[in-house]
Amino acid sequence: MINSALKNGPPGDLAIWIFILAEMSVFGVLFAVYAFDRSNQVELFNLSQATLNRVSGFINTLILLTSSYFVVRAVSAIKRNDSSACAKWLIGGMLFGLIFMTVKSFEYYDEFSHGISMDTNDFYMFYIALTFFHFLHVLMGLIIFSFILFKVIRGGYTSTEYHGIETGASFWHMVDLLWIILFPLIYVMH
Amino acid sequence: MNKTLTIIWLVLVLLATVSFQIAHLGLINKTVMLLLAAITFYKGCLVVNYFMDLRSSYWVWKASIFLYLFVVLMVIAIAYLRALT
Repeated sequence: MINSALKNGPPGDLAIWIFILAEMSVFGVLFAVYAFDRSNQVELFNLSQATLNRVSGFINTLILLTSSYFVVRAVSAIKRNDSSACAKWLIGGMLFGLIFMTVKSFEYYDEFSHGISMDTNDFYMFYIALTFFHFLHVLMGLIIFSFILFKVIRGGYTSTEYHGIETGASFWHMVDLLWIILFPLIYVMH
Repeated sequence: MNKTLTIIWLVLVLLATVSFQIAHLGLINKTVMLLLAAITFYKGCLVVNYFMDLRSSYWVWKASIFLYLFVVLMVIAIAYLRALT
């Protein structure tokens, strides 16, 4: 079984998948703690949640989904040995990642300028902790992609050697997957 | 393949819009809560299968992520249903 799992493993480096599972577990615990803490303070959580900018949360969901789509197209392009298209899709994915961070930064600025902080109440503590932890993952993804893009432009990847791109893409899709849970949890469910 | 990926992206955008509209209209009860959890699970499955491209990998990899999604969303749903009662 272990041989089959390793032989027919997931795309990219095995180490990134161990990292992905570890990161997702941490987020999973935080999601569960948030949900159960909320069930003891429903009124407070609902009132605080109503102050969030739901539209910008929705826009960021669309941005991240589109970014993930661009990245998957970049992987598809390199499999066809089309480095030029791969670089273009990757730049598109990174650009949308940057837009995500910009929108989120404006959201934070608006909230912090209204005196909201992690000390305000439990809801904001979870909201800031979860979204900022996710924000850092987006930043990390962009740093990883910068190195990958540099190698793509230099012709370092081909249709037979694209392991690095798949590794970076897998991390990026994890970031997307986490936001897919975060968005309804923090912005929608009340 | 690229056409399939584009369709998957459009489906994900559509499902995200449905979730947003549910919140926007304030439609929250037990049934809607479970519907939101189901939509989120389905979106996660699409990302795992088509974006992460785990379809052709050994089943354990796919099962690990699906199990994660199922357990996390079930725990969230239970906590929210507990709060609604």
